[in-house]
Amino acid sequence: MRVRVYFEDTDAAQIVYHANFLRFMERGRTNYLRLLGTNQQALLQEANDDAPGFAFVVRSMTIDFLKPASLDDVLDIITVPQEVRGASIVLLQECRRGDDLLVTARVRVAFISGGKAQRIPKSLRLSMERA
Amino acid sequence: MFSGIVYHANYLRYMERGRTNHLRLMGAEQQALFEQVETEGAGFAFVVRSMHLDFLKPARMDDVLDVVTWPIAVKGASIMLGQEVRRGEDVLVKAEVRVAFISGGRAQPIPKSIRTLMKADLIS
Repeated sequence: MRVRVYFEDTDAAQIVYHANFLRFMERGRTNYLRLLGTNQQALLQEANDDAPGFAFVVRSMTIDFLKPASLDDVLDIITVPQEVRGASIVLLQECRRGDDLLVTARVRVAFISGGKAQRIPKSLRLSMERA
Repeated sequence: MFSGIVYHANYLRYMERGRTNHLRLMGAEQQALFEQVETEGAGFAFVVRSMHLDFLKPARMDDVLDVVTWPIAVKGASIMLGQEVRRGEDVLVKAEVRVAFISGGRAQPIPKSIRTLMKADLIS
């Protein structure tokens, strides 16, 4: 997924404010979920039938800020699953500008439904394991 | 969708304020020190190099949170800080944050005066 750095993303030093990389990475994860499977609508509908009003929430993150991003940069956000468990997934994310690696993150997200952690529906889990 | 809980990236803003305040409180009694560094370093800043975050419990609208900041390790050019976001006794978010000292656009050794001051706060 590509994002362009706008003025609102930057701070007083005219580079991307560190917390804003988390917003870019969240968009990357949302996009990753959207692109999962060939018949995503059916898949997500099925997950919703199994676990009404489900959501993925971030449980922990390890982030390395290697290089800064500047105004007008076009960044690639890359998201790959590292580990798919019963109730949580570990995703590896990278924020790149061309060949330059700017930020890396290891993100653990949990599956929540009805306000509680739940097992990830099998159909969703299988499509993530394949990805 | 409105969930009334704090968006995860916003804790980073709270924690940044906590770090700024931590630095300011150190400087409150040591105004002269910071002026000295300012003239030596000609515009210095601490930048975040890496973070580890555990989101344990959500914070909700109208909550009053405490952000607690303490040094874990003080090295030549970087400091490891521990931070917690708490609501009363509840720890909501735990973080370890490595910040580097930057001056003139480059990582630099932290001026000894600041390093000594931070080391004094180390809990061993």
